[in-house]
This record gives sequence, structure tokens and C-alpha cells, in this order.
Amino acid sequence: MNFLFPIGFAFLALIPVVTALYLLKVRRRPVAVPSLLLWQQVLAQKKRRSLFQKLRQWLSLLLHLLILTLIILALTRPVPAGRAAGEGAATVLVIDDRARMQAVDAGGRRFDQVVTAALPAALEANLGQEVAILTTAGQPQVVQPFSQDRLEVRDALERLSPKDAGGDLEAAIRLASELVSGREGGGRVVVFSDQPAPENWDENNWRRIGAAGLDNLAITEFAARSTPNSPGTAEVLVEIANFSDESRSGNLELQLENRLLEVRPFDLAPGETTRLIFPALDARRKYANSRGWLTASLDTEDGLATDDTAYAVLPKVQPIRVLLTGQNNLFLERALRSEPNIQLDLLADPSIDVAREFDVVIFAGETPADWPWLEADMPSTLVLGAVPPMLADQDERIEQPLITSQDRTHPISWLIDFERLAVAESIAMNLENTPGWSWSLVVDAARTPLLVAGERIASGERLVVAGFDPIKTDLPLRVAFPLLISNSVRWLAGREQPLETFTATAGQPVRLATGESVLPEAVQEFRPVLESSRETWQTGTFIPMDTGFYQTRQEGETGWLAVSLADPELSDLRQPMAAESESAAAAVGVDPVVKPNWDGWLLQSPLPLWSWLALVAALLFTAEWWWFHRRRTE
Amino acid sequence: MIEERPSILFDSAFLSKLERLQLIARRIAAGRDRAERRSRRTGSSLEFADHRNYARGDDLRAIDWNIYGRLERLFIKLFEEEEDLPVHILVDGSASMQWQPPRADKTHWKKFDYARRLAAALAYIGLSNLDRLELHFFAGQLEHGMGLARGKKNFQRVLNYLGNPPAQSTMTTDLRVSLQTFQRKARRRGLVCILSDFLDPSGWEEPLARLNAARFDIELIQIVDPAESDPSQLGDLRLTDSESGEEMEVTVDEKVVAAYREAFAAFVARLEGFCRRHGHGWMQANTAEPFEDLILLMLREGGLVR
Repeated sequence: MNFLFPIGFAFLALIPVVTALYLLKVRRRPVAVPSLLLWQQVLAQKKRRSLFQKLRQWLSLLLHLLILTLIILALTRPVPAGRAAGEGAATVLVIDDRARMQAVDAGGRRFDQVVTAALPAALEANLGQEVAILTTAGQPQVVQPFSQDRLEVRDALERLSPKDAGGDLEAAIRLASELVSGREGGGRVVVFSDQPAPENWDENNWRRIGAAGLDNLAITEFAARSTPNSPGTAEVLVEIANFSDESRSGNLELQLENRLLEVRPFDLAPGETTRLIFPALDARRKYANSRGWLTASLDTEDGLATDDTAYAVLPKVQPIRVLLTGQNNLFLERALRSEPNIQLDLLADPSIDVAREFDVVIFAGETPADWPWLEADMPSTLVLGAVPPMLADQDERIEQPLITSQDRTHPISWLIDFERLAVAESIAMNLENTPGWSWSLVVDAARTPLLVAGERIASGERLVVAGFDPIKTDLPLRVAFPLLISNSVRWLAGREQPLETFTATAGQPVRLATGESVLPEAVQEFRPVLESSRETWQTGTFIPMDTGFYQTRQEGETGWLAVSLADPELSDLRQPMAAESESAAAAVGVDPVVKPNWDGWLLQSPLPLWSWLALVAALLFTAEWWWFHRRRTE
Repeated sequence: MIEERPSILFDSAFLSKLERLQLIARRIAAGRDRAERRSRRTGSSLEFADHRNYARGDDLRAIDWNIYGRLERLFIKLFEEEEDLPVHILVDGSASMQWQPPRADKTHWKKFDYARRLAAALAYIGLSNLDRLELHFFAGQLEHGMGLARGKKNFQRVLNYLGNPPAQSTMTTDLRVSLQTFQRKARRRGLVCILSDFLDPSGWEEPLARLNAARFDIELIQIVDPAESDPSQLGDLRLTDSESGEEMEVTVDEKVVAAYREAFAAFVARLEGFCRRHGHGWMQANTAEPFEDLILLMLREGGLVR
């Protein structure tokens, strides 16, 4: 027998006190009577029973000592030794708290059914059983270490809530099995999940909740990105899947923060998946407090509500800071100003330090000699109508060069046709003496390249050189001119690819960038002012467990991380998830159950041993009280 | 009529009850002799009894001159002596009679007070019948009595005596000493009413037997408090004798109470048996009952009032 509260034995010191109180003379109530004459006669008869009287007193003392001992024993919370250290002493409850368990069926929410089913197992904690609790969502997590405290285990169980995330049941069972095998005397793993029990598992150790299939509609994909040819607009992709055996129809609502952007009806055949694309959304954030929160939601009712809403963040297009040097570049200036994403500054003769604060520097008609051409710290530079000294081929000028080829794959030439370009004159370029640089001949002509784009291989500096002056061509009169300028600037600024926002999947680890941190608290409803109860920012790898928006911070700049469920396997409630329980069982081996060798009635009893002791004490106390009033004890 | 109230013990309600009792008593006694008793001795009443020869010194007024005319011999007419009945009422004033159960309410009569009211009622009836009445309190010994009284005009004395009992020299009951003293003091035998609880540690049988032997007509009225005959207190008690102050520790349960009731019933039965054996009257007066009911019962059964 083990005692969970052995300090309670200190109360045994009360036994001498009770005995002493018994030995003390009883304080009797004084009563005046007319005469003792008759009482003495009665007492004379009573004396014949004095021996029995003494026995009654001892019986009373014995009863009181027994009651006191029982109460002290109950206080020490005894547990059978076999349960505390022997076989079957440990139980690990694996609670499936993945998003699927939020499904609602006839019995209510499946996770609530899990908790109800798991509570009786928590009672075993007081019988010397060590009980631990493991959850599966995200990564397997020990939410309650081994404990014999029933209240502690019960509280841990009741504090659990289902997550919006997926998870790995197999990994959780494997971890539980390792926990049990590490205990002296072994134990058992009891799984509470909606997955079916493997064949080799005892059904008592695998409680399946929600075996019946449920129909469900889910958003399985949700993404937003800026439009490649127009950074000020964005396009959104939403994928909807019908995980049911019937046709389903409904509406998908797309919201930007609290504004409804669009409602799109859908009609899905059984098992069908469809993709809805919302092109050309205005991606510019019009409000100062805009966070770009996009929410897609279905207006249907189904088995699982969590996957009916998905979250994404609209790409935030950063302006490109461009420095235009020189004078009288009217066409060029207008072309740059027509691009909403370009922030233009004009400076006649900038120093290199000033130029480095810009994303792109443009020289038109001339090139400064003190520019760190082709060096490692050179700013991204666009040269028009001039050629840097180390690229100039003996200052030779080619009259009316004949265009021979165009690299249409290069981002600069995107949507531009240079073949009919009429160039009056171009400076000859020689790219041979440029070690460490990779060049693309965007527009090539006989005897000299006309437009080249180079990138330093080691450090990524970029340079675009047009040996001809665009003003002296027919280019400014064509649509291709602003496109050339825009393409060149975007390529030089490294924005040639459309911006795509990253939407994380709940339960999957998110590796944060260096210096980036996240506030691990999901927000789902847009409010202009956010109030967070948490101040602990997390860095490194972050596993979001709930869907919604998470605030990120990097170098003082606030960003948002959108997290959705987006897992077709989790959303398909018609069937178990790819027999993961079978693989778990196979990985673990056999049902890791060691039958307890102490299967007494206490195991089945809803009350722990101390409660029985207290109950017996209460019964004895009641009997003693009744006997006292019947003068059986004094 | 009774004109004044000597004490709260004998209030106007009590006195009016006595008046009513007298009327009832007269009705019951109708058809019998008047209250005055004729003795065997000759006396000076108007009732002729006999003749005897004249002797020197006889009252000349008693000579029957008619017989002298016929027989020429002097005879004296003898008349019956009208004799009143001596009634002695002895009231126990011991501490046990003063006892009152704990938590008794205001309507509860102490045995002593009840006995005094009963004694007053008996005295009133006696005085109404022109009996010679003597009242005594007793406890450890016989206290100084009221003195002889006859006729209703003396009822005020009775009330004064009962309302202001003389200080008891001792509060412990001693029937033997008290009755011996009474026997010595009593000039004529007669009816002795003893109102007491008879809780005498030294016993009541021997003193009563002596009184019986002295040819007194004895009437015992045992005053009983309900709490005395049927105790209700249970538990660990320390009993204190109201007379001796002696203490006794006892644990009273239902069985002990039952044993006590049995002992009390046996005590009463012994007292009653004694009276019946010797042809004396016995009554038990429960303080919870109205005393006039008790008086009526006495009158009807003729045990006390003749």
C-alpha cells in the first residue's frame, strides 16, 4: 500500500488526545430532585450491570478510535501498492484533437464525446494508476505528464480543446508507446479518435468516436498574388471540394477585411473539386490601417465548420525607388511617372552614397566616370543612350544597326517586340572584358548588341545598358517604351516575379526568417484595433494550431501570416484517413497493453480507496451517534 | 363571606371556589345529620338523653319536676352533649415539597403551594361544619400550630396561617418526630389529614402505624408532582437531593426512567396499601389537576368529609 499524502499520519497524534478525553470524567448535568430515595433504589439495581456499563464505555472508545483511524487513513490517500508500481501502473491517453474532431454528428461535437469518454480513465489516477495525456494536433504533445492525481488529470482533460490543425496520429501513438515502455511495470495506451481501431488492438484501448461518415464542403486551397503585369492588382485562387455523395451548391464570399469583395456561386457534383479565380482585385491598400486580410467563406452548413473559412493576406506591393539623373528626359520621366509602383526622384549629379539609397539608378545619355561600374557594391543601374567605359568598344558608333535577334524570354522584353524598332544610332558594346558577369543579349544587332542585361554572378548586382538613345528611336511613340522602362526597372529592382503571399497550413511548421518573430495568437475577425493578451513573440519554427491571421514582426515592420486548414484529407469526413491507425499499430508492433494484475473491484469502482474509507467512517459515526442516543454507548 | 385576601396564594378566584365547594358540600350532606356530631357523653344540649338519680351538688335546674310529682323522687334530666369533631390538618413544609421541576412554567404549582390550597379548602369545609380545627406545618419536626378554631369566622386565621407559614427549623422530612410530637400535643383524638409527599428517608410506615395505634382517624393526601412521578430528563445527570443536598451521578436512559417509574408506583402502592389495611383514607393529589376536582372527589366518595 502506498500513501499519496503520508503527512496525514501526523494526525495519529490525536489518538492519545481522544483517549485522554475519554478518561476524563464526564461533565454531568446537575438536576435537583425532591428526594434521592427512589433513585437510590433504581441505582442499586443498575449496579448489578456495572460490568456491562464499563464494557459499553470501552466499546464507545473503540468505535471513536476506529472512526479517527479511518479518517486519518482516508486523509493519507492510500493506493494499492500493486497499482502504484506494479504492472499496469501507467496509462497514456492519446486524445485526437485534430480539426476533424470538431465535426458535429448526432452525438454532438466529436471532441466533446472524446473528453466524455476519456474522463473515466482519469479516475484510475487515484487508484495508483499513473495517467498521462497526449494530443495529436500539430506535433504530438504531452499535455499532462504522468500523474496519480485524479483532479490534475481530469482538469488537464477538461482544459483540452480541438485545434484547427492536422496532425500525425501515428507519431502520437508511437510516442505514447515509448512513454509506456519507459515505465516500470509497463502500462497501456488508450486512443480516443475518429479513426478505426487496428485489427490487433484491444477495443477497450481504442475508443472510436464518430464512426459514421459525414458530408462536408471545404476550401482546400486559398492563395493570392499580385498580377505579373500590374503590381497594383492581385488575383485570388480558391479551391472548393465537395466531400459528400450528393451534389452541393452554395456561395463563396470573398472579403477584404470587413468589406465584401465578391460573392461567387458554385455547384459541385459529388466528390468534385473546383477552382474559382478572382482576377484583378485592387491590391493597393487604400487605408492606413489596412492589413490586407482576405477571407474566403462558404455559406453552406456541413459536418465541419473549420474548413468552410480560409484566410490569406493580400500581397503588399512595395514601391520601387528610382533615381533619374541628367536633364531633359521628358519622355523617360513621363514613362516612369506613369508606373504607379515607381517612386521617382530626379537628381542631376548624384553621389554614389545617395544613389545607394535607391532601388534603381537611371543614367540617360551619359555615364559618370567615378561610378563603381561592374563592381560588387554597384547600385542597380539602367543606362540609356550611353555605355559604361569598360563596355564601350572603342567609342565606335553604329549607324542604323540592323536588329538580328531578341531574347523574348528575358523579363525586360516581356510583351515588347523590338524587331521593327528603328534605331538611328547605337554605341558599340564589347562584353568580353567583364569577368564575373553574366550577360543576356536582350536585343542584338549586327556588329554590336543593342540592349544587354547583366548580373554579377557572385553578388547579384544588375546592370541594363541600351547603347541607343530611346529618344532617337521611334520607341517613345510606341506602347513598348513604357513597358521597356517598367520591365527594366522591375528587373533591376528584383521585382520581375509577381508577389505571392504565403498561406500556411494549420499544424504544419512555419520556418520564420532570421529576425522575424510571430505572436502565437490567431485573430479571425477584423478589428481596426487589435488587443492581444499575449506579449510573447516566438521565433525560429512556429506551428500554428488555429486558423486565422498571426501577427509577424521583422525589423520593426508588422506583417501578417495567414493560416488555413486546407487539407483535403482532414476535410473528407466520409472515410478514415488513409489507414494511419493501421500504420501506427504496425509501427508500434502490437497493442502495447500490459494487463494489470490487480483487477479488483476498486478498479471498476467510481470512487477511490480514500472515499470508501471516509464512507465507512461516516457510517460508523452515524451508528455510534444512534447508539449513543439509545444509550448503547456512553 | 370571605372579605380579604391574605396572600396571592389565596386569591379571589380561589375563595370563590371555596364558596362554591361549600354549597356543593351542603347538598351532598343533605338528609344526614347536621354537621354537629353527637357524642356519647351527656351535655347541655336540648336533646334529652336519660334520667339519673339526683345527687348532691347537681344543678337544681336539671331536676325533672314532673317525675318528682308522680314518683316523689328526685331525678335529674340528662341531655346529650353536642360534641364537635377535632380535625387536624398537618401540612408537610419540607424542602421536597418546595421542589419544582426545572423549566417549570408559571402555571405549575409547587407541591407545597398546592398542599396549602388544599389545606385551606379542607379547613373551610371543616369550619363550615363547626368542627374544631387545628393546623400544623411539619418537616423535621412539628411546627407551632395555628391554634384551635371553630366556625367560619376563623377562616381568616386559617388563611393567615397558611399564607405565612412559620419558619421551618429544618427542611428535612422526619415523620417520626413530627407525628410523635403531634400525638403528645393532640388533646383529643379525631381526624388527622396529612398532606405530604411522604418522601421521608427514615420511612413513613412506623410513624403512621403509631398514629394508627393511637386510634386517630387518618387521612393521607399524597401530593405528587407530575415531573416527580414521570421524570423526563435523560443523559448524564448529577442528581441533588433537595432536602439533604446529597448528590448522585447517574446516566438516565429510557430503561432507567422505566425503572424509576416502577419504583415510584411501588412506593405509592405501599402507601395506599397501608391505608386500606388499616381502614384509613388515601388520596393522591396531582399538582397538575385542579384542586377543587380533588375536593369534590373526596366529598363524593365520602372518604374525608362525613
